[in-house]
Formats: sequence, C-alpha cells, structure tokens
Amino acid sequence: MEVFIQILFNGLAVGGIYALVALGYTIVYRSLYVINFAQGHVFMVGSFVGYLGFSHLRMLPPAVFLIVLITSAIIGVVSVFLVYGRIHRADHLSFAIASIGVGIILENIVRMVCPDPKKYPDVFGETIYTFLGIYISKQYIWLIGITLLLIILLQVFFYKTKIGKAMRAVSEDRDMAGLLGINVNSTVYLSFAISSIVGAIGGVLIGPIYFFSFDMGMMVGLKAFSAAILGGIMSIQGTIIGGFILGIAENIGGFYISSDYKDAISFAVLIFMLMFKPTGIMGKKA
Amino acid sequence: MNMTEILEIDDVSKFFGGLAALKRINLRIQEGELLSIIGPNGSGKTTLFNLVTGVYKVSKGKIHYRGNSIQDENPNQIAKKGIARTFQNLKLFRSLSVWENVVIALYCKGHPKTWGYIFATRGGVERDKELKERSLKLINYVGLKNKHDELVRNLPYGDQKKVEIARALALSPELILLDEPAAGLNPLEKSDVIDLILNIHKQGTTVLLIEHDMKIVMNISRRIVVLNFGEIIAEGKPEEIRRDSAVIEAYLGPDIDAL
Amino acid sequence: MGHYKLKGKAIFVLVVIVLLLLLPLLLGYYLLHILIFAAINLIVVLGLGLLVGFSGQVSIGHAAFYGIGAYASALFTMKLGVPFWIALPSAATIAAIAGILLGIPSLKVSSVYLVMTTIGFSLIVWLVMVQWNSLTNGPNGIIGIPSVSIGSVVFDTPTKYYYVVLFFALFALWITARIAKSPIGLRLQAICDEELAAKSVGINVTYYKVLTFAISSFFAGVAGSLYAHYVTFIHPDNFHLMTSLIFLVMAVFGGQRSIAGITISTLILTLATEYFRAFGQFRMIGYGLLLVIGMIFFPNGIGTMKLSIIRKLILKILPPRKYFQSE
Repeated sequence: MEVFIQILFNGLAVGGIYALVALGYTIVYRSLYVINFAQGHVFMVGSFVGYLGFSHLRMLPPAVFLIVLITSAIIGVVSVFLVYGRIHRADHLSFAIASIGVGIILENIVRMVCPDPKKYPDVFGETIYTFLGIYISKQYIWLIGITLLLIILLQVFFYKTKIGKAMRAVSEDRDMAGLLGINVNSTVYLSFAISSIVGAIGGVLIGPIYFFSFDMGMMVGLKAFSAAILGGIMSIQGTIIGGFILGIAENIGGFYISSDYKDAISFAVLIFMLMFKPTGIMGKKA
Repeated sequence: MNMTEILEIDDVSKFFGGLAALKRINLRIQEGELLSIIGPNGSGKTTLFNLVTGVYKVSKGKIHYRGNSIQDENPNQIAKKGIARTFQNLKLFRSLSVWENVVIALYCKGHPKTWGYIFATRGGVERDKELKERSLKLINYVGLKNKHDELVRNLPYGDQKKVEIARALALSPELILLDEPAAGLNPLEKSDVIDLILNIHKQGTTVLLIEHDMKIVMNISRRIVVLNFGEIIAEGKPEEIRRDSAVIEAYLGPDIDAL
Repeated sequence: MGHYKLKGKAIFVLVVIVLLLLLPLLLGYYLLHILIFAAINLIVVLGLGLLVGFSGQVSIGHAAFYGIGAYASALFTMKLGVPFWIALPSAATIAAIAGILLGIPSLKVSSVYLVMTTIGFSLIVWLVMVQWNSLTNGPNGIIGIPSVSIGSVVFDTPTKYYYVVLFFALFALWITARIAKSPIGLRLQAICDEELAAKSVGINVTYYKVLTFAISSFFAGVAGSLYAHYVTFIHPDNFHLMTSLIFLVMAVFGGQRSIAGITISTLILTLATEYFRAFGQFRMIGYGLLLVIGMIFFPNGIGTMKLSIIRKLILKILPPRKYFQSE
C-alpha cells in the first residue's frame, strides 16, 4: 500500500511539471489555434539554464528562477519577432513546421554546448522525510510547492487580472482562420512569453528529481501535449488536471504494467482521447 | 400511399440541444411538382433540406423516398439514390475547375473505370473522356459554355451558382433541392436561373426550392409551404398563400409588398 | 496544337529518362549514393503528398510505415527465405494494412488532433521495434540483410542499385501523376475543399480517406524495403519521429499538390540532409533554419514559385497542367 502511495506521490510531482509545460501549449493554442512544437524544447532550455545557474554559477534558487524566467521570456518574444510573426500564410501547418524548426535549432544549440546529460546539484538539500510510510525528499516538497504556487499565480492572472481576462476573452472570439502575420500584437507576444516561462520553469523543477539532457525536449513536449489534450487544450484548468492525471497514470502504469512501455502509456492515452473526446475531459464542444 | 408521391416527411422533428429547429413537420412531395419553401430566416428551411439529404439525423419522425426509409442514411448514399442539392452559401470545390466540379458528380452514377484510368487501360481512358464530354454538355446547359476550364474561384458569383446547379444535375436527380439559388444575383442572372429551374422542372425533375425572392416564388411555384419557427403555418397554391393571414403576420416587413 | 504539345512533352520526358539512365557514368559514388536515398525518399513523399496535399490529412507518422516495410522485407527475406521480388510487395502490403489501421481512427479527428494521432502511432511502432526483441532484434537492429538479386545478378553496388531504385521511383512518379488526375485524385481534392459537398455528390468520404492512407503507406512500405536491401543494416532509430518529420517537410516544401515541386524539394532536402551531415551538430541547426526560412518565404511550397527559373523552364516545354499548381 505504501508503495502505491509512493508511486502516486511521485506521479503527482511529475504531473505538476507536465501541467506547467502543458499550459504553455494551451495558452498559445487559445491565442492562435496553433500548436507550438517548440514548447518541449523551451522546457529543455529552461532546464539547461537552471543547471548552469545552480551548478556553474552557484546561484541561489530565487536568482536562478529569475534568470530562467527572463531568458525564456526573451526566447518566446524573439521567436515571435523573428519567425512566427513573419509567417504570412497563417495556417496551422506552416506554423507547426516553423515551430518544429525552432525546436530543432534550440535543441542543437544546447547540444553543441552541452552534449552530455548532467545531474543537478542538490539544490534544496538532501533531507528525506518519512510520512505515512512514504519517503518524501525535500526536493519533491519544493517542487510541488513551487508548481502549485505557479499554478495559483496563473489562475489569478487569467481569472482576476484585466490583462488575463482580456486574453481569455480574445480567444473566445477569435476567428478560426489564424491571424498570425496579419495581427501580431501584444497579446501574441504575451502569450508566447508566458508559455515559454511556464515551460522553462518546469524544466528547472525537473532537474533536481531527474537530470538534464539536451534531448529531453521532444519526449516531455509530447507528453505534456498529451496532457493538454487529455484535459482539454482550450481549458486552462483542464490542462492542469490533465497534467496531474498523466503523471500519475504514467507512474502507475510504469510500475504495475511495464516500465519499458511506460512512455507508450502517454501516447496510448493521447490516441484514445483524440479518438473519443478530442476536446478533452474539460472540453466544451465536441 | 399515393403512387405519385416521391418524398414523404412524416412527423419529423429536429432538436439541437434544447432548441427545436423543426417541430412535427408533415409533408408529402408529389413527383414532378415544383414546391417552394418559404419563411423568415431561422425558420428551419435549410434544416429541413439537411434532414432530407442526410446531413442531419432526425430527432423524431421518418422520411421516405419512393417508399424507402432514408432518415438514417448518409449524404453520399442519398445522393446515389437520386436526390441532389445546392447550398445556400455555395460549396464548390475551390481548387478545381468548372468541368472538374461537374465531372465529380458524374462519377456518382457514371461508373468511371478508376483503376483502369490509373493504369492507362483503353477502357479507363475512354470512359474518362466520355464523362468529361458529358460534363461539358451540362456546363453548356446551364449557360457557361467555354468556361469549363476556368477555376471556379475565378468566376463571378452568378456563374458559380450555375456551376453548383450543373453539379447537382450531374447526379441525374429525380429530386433536386435548391437552397436560395437566386440569392445575391443581379436581375439578369436571376432571370437566367429562373429559366434554368423551369427547364429542369419541365424535364420531369421534382424541384424543392427555398427562396426569399417572393416574385420568383409566386411566379413559378405550383405549391408553397410556409415555415415559421420550425413549424408549417401554411400550405397551398400561391394565391391562397398570398391571402393567408398567418403568413402575412409572419412576414411583416418589406416582403409584404411582393405578396 | 494539342498534338504539338503532346510531342513536346513526350520528347522532354524521353530526354530526362535517358539522362537519368546515363547518370551513373557521370557521377561519382558519393553523389550516386545520395541520389539513391533521394529516390527512396521520393517514393515515400509522393505517397505522403497524396495524403497531405490531396486528401488533406497531415501525417507525421510515415516513418512507421517506412520502417514496417523495411523490417517486414528484411524478415521475409532472411527468416522465410522469400526472394526480394515477393518480399517487397508483401512488406508494402503489410505497411498498407498498418496504414488502414491508422486511417480508420483518424477519421474521427481533424487537423491538429490528427497530427498528434499520427505522431503517437509512429512512436508506438517505434517502441514496438525497440522492445519486441524476438522479432526485430530490438535496439541492435537487423544486420546482413541480403541485397537484391535477379537470377545471378546481385545489385550490391551503388551503381547497380541505382537502377533498381530508379525503376521504382519512376514508376511511383507515373502512378502518382495518374492517380492525381484520376477520379480518386479529384475526389480527394473535393473532400479536402468541401467535405460536406463531396458527400452530397455521392463520395464515400470514409472510404477515400482510408484508401489514401493505405496507398501512401504502401508507397512508404515499398521505399522501406528498398532502403533495407540497400543499407543491409537497419535499426529502430532509422525510423524515429525525425524521419517522419523530414518526409513531411519534403512534401510541404514541394507544394503538396505539385508533383514536380515534390520531386525538386525531395532532391534538394535529401542533398541538404546529407551535405549538412558533414558539419555534425551544425547539420541539424542548418536543418532547423531551413524549416524556419522555408515557412517564412515559401509558405505554399516551391511548387508555386512563379519566379523559379526551373519552373519557367519546365513550363516552356510542357503545357501547363492543373496539378502543377498547389491550390
């Protein structure tokens, strides 16, 4: 039983990270009805910058998070300015391929600089607590804590602030044709900035419990996307729930069914959802 | 059942969520007649067309075509049975030319030898030529001679509407549903379309027409059905409809002068 | 006038084919090697072009069918002793069946969601390749795949294999061109433009969408088999998501409905992929840049580049044909 709760707990932790990265997809999708295939790679870049900050520059967590935030926001804005904002055909396919290109560029720039997987130093200390028979390391506590904090901040932003509400309103109203290239305004820049930030911070958070590697962008990106679809890519709350569910399902499946096929679970979930309810658990129209 | 009845709409209702788009519609269409369906916007006319052609499934009721039940069939099955339609907001195949738009519909009953064509057998290639010639005939018939190679999206609106009619005719339909074929046309184009409809009718095809232009409706229909809020509020010959108080009430506005 | 055009076109095609047949005499092994890959890629991309450009279903999963074709052909020849000429169509048929298996659930999803389904499918196939050790030898892959042989002639050098691949590539080109103009091609374009109207003129959309999946995955299976018997060593990483992506990019760059465009773009991108390989890390960055720049400047693919010299040249000799345009 303790084993089960342990797995559940681990799943929750990973799930939170999936939720953060997945929110990046949702925010951009609600804004422009396109899928940003570079999201997973932005997550990876965040992890890399976090690694640099903790390991090489020996900075304190708040400073590292700040640097990651700024770097990722810049990446998001620059991507729009240089690439996405210039795609004139404004259709899903062109954007998808361009974002794949951006992702490839990010992945390989980092790869050139740091081709080996790296372990994060013990950022939050090595203490392991025991609670109800399960082992909780301090890292996990911080991870979950920060994840929840971010999620709450995002909720506040989107539901209570004027800008956030405006962004939500725009997505309800926008013509499905996709207006990239014709109407690249501050909302678009903001969407990409926020989406990059949440993805990148997710990357910093996963560092301590796994590790960093230049090629983790694609897999995590896909899984986070599955999470977004699972919960409903148009729904902010749905995406968050989807992330947690996926993290838990993956851990449970990985343990009880087969660890080799663990990754397949995300994809099976994805295909299942796409076939039967592509709008997700919290999605509205089918 | 009357032997000359071609379409029976029995107690048909259609709900979208809680909204009733059509309520208990009962209609019998005689073979060879020209029936117009009129009514204010949103009264359910196009919904009725969609139900007959299988785009929507009925919530309640039955639809029979020549005695066979069709309310559960798919649009492509219904097309094969000989029911053709045009669309209110034009659904032409925009990347194709005029004759390609028409010939696709010809494939429905024209038995193209597809794999023969692909592997360039004589039979396949000849059948393909034959079908193209038939499409050209139809294109001439609707008055678009010499425009067969044009991409439909380069044509003026009036011509595009004609292409859609040609495409519907290519199905060799016994029943044709025209959804506002004259909408958005100038008087000259309208007169062309009216002549076309009358010709189609003269050749024995049963015509169901949705139109807002009351002059057209009053002049060419044998029978008119009036819908309002999803229900039939009147049915009869043009003169009767003209005098019907329920219809006049539903139509408060500029159209009343046309009546 | 029409007779003149036909003659001009026939002469052009003849000249091109003769040139192609003579190519091995003019080029060194390395370039020939690249051309072989280009021809193999072309077969996949033509099928993908039908799927994406004509029926409008986007797939980033075609490496799965390519891989299935490769593995199936390798296993048929190695474990069942089947000759190549039977192994190839059999492997392609298996790939086609897999295509139908993916095509059917794909009917229920559209655009973006479809893309993700194909990605998921591709990954699941990849995982099976890696995990099913008893069948596929897992991550070690299969080595020692026999080369193609007819009678006593063994096609184990680039020069000889070039002719094998050329034959299939030309055949694929011809078939694709015929399909594009055939009732299938027209119906697919109709479905892509206005699905509802297509149904209303009697088109069984389900059948055609699944059929296109089957055709395109058959092509990919053929290509996979040709690949396996050339490189004689295959392993799962040859058939990962990246490969699927490269195929899609070649199709999109070509202009989707433009067969000439697809051919040119496949040639260029295959050359680029191999050329960049020399630069190591930079290769992929170059590739990413190519994607980005391509989408910004050629959103419709090069098949519609009005300013292209090559295109002007082709248009001068050939009569302009409908399927040269991408819309």
